[in-house]
Amino acid sequence: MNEDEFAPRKKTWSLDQESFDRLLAWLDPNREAAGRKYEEIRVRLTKILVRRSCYVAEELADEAINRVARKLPEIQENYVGDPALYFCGVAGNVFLEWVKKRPVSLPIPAPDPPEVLEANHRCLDKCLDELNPSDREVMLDYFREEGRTKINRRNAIAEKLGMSINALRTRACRVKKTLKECVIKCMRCGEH
Amino acid sequence: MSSEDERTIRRYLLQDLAEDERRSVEEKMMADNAFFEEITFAEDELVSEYISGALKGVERQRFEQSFLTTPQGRLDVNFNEAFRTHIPKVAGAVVAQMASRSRPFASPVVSFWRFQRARAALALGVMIILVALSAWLFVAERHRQSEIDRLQAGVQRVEKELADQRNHQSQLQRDFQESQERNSDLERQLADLRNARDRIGQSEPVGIGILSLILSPGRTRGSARQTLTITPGKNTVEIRLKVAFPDYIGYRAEVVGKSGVSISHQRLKVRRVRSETQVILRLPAAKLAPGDYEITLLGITAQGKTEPIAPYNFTVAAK
Repeated sequence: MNEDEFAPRKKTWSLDQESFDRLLAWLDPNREAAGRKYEEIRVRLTKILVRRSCYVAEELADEAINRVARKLPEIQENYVGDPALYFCGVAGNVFLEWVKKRPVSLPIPAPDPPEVLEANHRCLDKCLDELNPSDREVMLDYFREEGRTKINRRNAIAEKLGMSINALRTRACRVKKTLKECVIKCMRCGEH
Repeated sequence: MSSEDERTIRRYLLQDLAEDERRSVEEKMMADNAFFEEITFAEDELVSEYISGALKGVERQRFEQSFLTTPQGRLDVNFNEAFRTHIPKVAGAVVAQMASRSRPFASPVVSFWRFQRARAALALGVMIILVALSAWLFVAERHRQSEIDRLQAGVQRVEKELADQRNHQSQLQRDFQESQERNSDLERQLADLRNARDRIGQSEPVGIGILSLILSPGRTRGSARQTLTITPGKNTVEIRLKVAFPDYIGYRAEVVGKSGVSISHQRLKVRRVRSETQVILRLPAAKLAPGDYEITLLGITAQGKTEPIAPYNFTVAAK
């Protein structure tokens, strides 16, 4: 990871507890809701940066959050609008700074070895067991087949569950997203 | 989500949007939960397209540049690759497990199926009985019909016998009437004879009497011819002709003498004596001169026509 790229800023300012509490209070008076909103903003900033082909997306997202927290005493009183959009603008600036410093575009790496796929399978099994049974059933039914059969099957599942095909897609994709987060966490933590 | 939004999202994921369009999408991702969720779903589907090989050409290159150059993108791809290969196996195993768990529930299904089979067997049995009953009824009906035919034939035979009996009875009645008539005739003749005898005994004798002669059909000559001798006192000659063909409704007789002159031409009555049919011809004795005579018997048909039946011959001898 290229943590050194942002070392100077980390050295000059770091997010302390007071700043963090202020940031959460700005996001939502309810601390628990504020915590959820903080996580959402971090995830979305990361996603946006990844989609810009930033291979240090999480670091840049954290840097953007720190900058907002640092800047917050100045802007908090007069800022109007959704705080999330402010984070987005700051993240764009952080990204531009990173692009200027980035030496070269990385080449597309070689495919991962088979062991990675096997580890993914083990994590997948583990995470499937952690799913709610009805969610798991819907997801397995939804993703088990391909092609025309898949479309017919999904229509049948939607009819069986008494929901629209779009609602079924949303439910199945949410479960898959939960599963993916679990698998990625499993892979990162070496739980496989 | 409109199709325009879907196209925009796809272009965003493949880094194909202009700067201002991309910024607009990113701001919407931050502010709109549903839109952000849709982005993640579309991203996931795009990864699946890439893994399945459905993503081709420039889009595939853009995808690789966007996704495979970041750790998060590679995790997404690895996860989807594992998901794509592993989920169908897991789903198949789960389906098999559910099927085995649902075996206790299979018993009502089996019972229902057995019940259906029992119903089918019962229906088959009833059908066989109905077919057998129908066959039995058919045979019984045939037997009854043949019995009716046989009885009807018997009735017809009895009716015919009855009709024959009636005809025979009618014939007997006719014979009886004829016998009675003949009897009356004979009684009348007897009475006449008695009267004549009385007159003879009481007054001067008169030539009253009947000569009788029985002739067979056919011409005869010489001594074979019957000869009639008319004695004094006999004024009537009764000639009985044997009839070979008794089927006519009436008879006439023509008596022709030697000279060829017809003496008598009468309509005659039929008499049956035992099994023989005779017609009786009465002639006045005075008209019969000695000599040969020929009688021609004529039959009268139902249509009223007259047909010659047979000739008869006799000779009147001198007194």
